[in-house]
Amino acid sequence: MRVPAPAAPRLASVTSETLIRNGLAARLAVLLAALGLWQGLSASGLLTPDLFPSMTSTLAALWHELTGAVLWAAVRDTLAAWAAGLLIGGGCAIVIGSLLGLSAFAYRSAIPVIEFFKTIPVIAILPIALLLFGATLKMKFVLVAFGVFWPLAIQVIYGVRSIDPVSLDTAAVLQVRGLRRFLVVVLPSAAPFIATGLRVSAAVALILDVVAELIGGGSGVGLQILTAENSGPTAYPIMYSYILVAGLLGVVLAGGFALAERRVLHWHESQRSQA
Amino acid sequence: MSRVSRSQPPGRSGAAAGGTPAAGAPVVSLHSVRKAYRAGGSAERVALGEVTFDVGRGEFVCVVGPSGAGKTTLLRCMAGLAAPTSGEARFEGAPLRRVPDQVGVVFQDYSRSLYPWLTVSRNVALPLKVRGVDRAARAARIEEVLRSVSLADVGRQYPWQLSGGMQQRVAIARALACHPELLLMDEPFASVDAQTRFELEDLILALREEFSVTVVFVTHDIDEAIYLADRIVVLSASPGTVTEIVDVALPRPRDQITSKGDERFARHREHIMSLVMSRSAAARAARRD
Repeated sequence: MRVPAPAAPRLASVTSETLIRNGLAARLAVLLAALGLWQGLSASGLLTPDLFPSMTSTLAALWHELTGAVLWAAVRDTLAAWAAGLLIGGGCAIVIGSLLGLSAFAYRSAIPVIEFFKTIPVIAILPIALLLFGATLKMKFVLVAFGVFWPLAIQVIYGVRSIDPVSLDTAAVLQVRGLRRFLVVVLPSAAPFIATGLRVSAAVALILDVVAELIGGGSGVGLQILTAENSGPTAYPIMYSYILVAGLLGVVLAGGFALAERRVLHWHESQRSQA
Repeated sequence: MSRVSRSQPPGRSGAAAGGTPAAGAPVVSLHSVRKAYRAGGSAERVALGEVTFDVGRGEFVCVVGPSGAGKTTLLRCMAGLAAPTSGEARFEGAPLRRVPDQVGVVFQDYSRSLYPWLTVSRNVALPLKVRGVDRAARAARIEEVLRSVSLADVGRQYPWQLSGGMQQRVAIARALACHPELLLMDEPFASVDAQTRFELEDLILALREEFSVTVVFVTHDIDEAIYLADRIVVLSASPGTVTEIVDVALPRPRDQITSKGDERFARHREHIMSLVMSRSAAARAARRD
């Protein structure tokens, strides 16, 4: 009899094709409507221009920034800490999480500590990171890596622990051992869990990154928002344009992860119909 | 285990022998093998009683028994995947510590034992890669074993793109890729339709001749066991012990129509059926008391 497989996390499954066919026009319409509403509220005087600039002046500021060097340098600094933190924090989480997941004893011993660290709001360690590293790229990187590590490690542990025992028996029978077993059997088995964890971690990493800039003063998009705010009402359109940039970064990175997930997990049940 | 002789030449004698066990050292030797889970504790559950039997070189042995008799547990002990709680399992004279290199296993659920992230070719290539077979030899061997199971041109496909019967053929090909001495099969045809099942039964008989491999085949289907086996080990209901070992007196080569129409087939069927039914009924009655 077939034992029901453990519920694998739902995978991102929006294809660009269906997006184009069904949703793109509607999405564009809603976007334009939202922009129109913003402009309407500004024109009617409900939004006071010195606190909340109009859509057109914000987009004009955004365009101005897009053609300058400051914005791109800020995006580069934000992405650098994001990518490094995700790479190092995520890599450690995958390796350590797998090792803990494969041993029942290690799992039972370590899980209380990991659960505890996971519950610490990462922002609470920002002062420590600032003390240690100052308002630097390193500070942002450490914060992001720390914030990514704990939740992803837990996800990896659960992914590894939910590996079908038949998969492991098969590996034993085929004499697949050691590093090959890890790379060919364990990692792909846990991949759906890891992918979900990474997708969530990538979003959390961006939030931490921007907050570290905004509060901790590390250079990047967050610092530009803060600088514009401190420059007074005339710079508010710039502040709002950087907020939009932070949002757009989130959208692009999330889309990238969904796409990568679809490629890497094309063999998974949830992706097969689209193969 | 003094009768296990290590001086036996490694050649394969009596590969296509009829009902009699092949002479020489047994490939598998089980001596009072017992398996309990949570042994010693209050929640101890005995999966397998004391089981003793040998499997000779080139033999085809089927294990039948009611569900819960511990058939799968027995197979796992023979494979070296599970250690007996007491007693001893030996492979070619040596106590089993882990899965020996010369053992192939086909599990019941091909959808779980074939790796869905690897293509058919890569699934079959995996045990060859582990053994350091070079690229060219690997490709040749993959083609060879896939042809043996009547699958050609599916190497680039993923297992889940194939029918159930085809997937189990891939699993069989993978198990045979490294020339095993012993092939262990755990209800391998339980999840395919009847027509496919007959085809796979005939396939496994043909492969056994082609590869002169010793086979231990676990099934709950008595007809299947009689059709395939030289000897049938009948297990009792939980915890399983050997009720009887039946020598199958049917000539080879076997044929789905004539062999199953043979009156000896019917007599075996009646006999084994009565063993399985009466024992399981007795066990149920014992549990009620």
